[in-house]
Amino acid sequence: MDMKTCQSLTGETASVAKREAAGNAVSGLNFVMEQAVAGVMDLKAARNEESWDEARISGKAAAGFDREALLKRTLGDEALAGEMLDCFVRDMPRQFRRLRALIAIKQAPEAAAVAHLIKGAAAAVACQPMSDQARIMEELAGSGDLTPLPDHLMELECRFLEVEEAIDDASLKDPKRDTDGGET
Amino acid sequence: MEEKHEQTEGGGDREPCRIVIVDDDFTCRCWLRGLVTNIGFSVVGEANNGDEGIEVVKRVRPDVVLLDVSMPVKTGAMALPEIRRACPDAQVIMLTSIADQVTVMDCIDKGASNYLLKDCDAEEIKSALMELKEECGLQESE
Repeated sequence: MDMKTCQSLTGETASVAKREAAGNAVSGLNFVMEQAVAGVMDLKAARNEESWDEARISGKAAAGFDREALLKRTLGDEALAGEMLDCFVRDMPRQFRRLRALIAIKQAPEAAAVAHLIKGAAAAVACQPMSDQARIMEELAGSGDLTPLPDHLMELECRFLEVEEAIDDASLKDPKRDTDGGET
Repeated sequence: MEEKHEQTEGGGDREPCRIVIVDDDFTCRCWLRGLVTNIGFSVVGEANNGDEGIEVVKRVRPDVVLLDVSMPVKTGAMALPEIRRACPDAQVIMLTSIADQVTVMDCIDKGASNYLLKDCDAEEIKSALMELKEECGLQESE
């Protein structure tokens, strides 16, 4: 997913757009997102010398979410895996808002702490690329260099959108819970 | 919070080992809650930072505390001595993504029973908790 596409899909815009897309399966946005996610999946599959179909069948979700690894973390408990993903999807938008605000007011140590939290949460649900991205942000903020962080945050949100799509595909999200809003 | 009771070999009821989870990460708390409940612990309290953790531990006096190191307001390492004073019998397991030797040694010196990495194998966390659960059972039967 390129930065321009990502930019148009982040934050409030993405929420509104995704709701519209949900109402129309063949909408342009849906198509763009599918193509973008598929592109990442193809790249990952090619990198691993494994076709997308093989990756899908084996449960190694592309777009940064590894279903098998998550189930290993829950010792095979699918319900718990679904509950964790639900927590993650509900909490991340709030953490992104906090991080954006801290970058804006140039609070480097606090921004590093939020990036650290995102890193841990993403690792907990086996979203390693997101965790790696957050680690880079934690290190940058830890060194006091906030200049590149807005771009990194955009990339992080981009990865999160891909992860959300992959989670939907992996059929692990807790169906009982509404995903609007985060922990207050 | 309603607590589950385990059936002992003799047929009597025994309270499950009681645990408090202190972690600022909502997703990690969810994971730990599920993991420990699945292996027979009773989660009797949760907290979002070290300060809240101390208050919860004082109130519920758990058998085990799972304590994250890196948290806002008061870190796990800072809260650990107060938690130990508030509830000396509670076993405290530090659970974190920070693996530096200084932090580990600091927490062990302050009375942590064990130090586990969040990204370690879940079986490793399970084994450590099962050991503590056995100890809880032994203490109750003494």
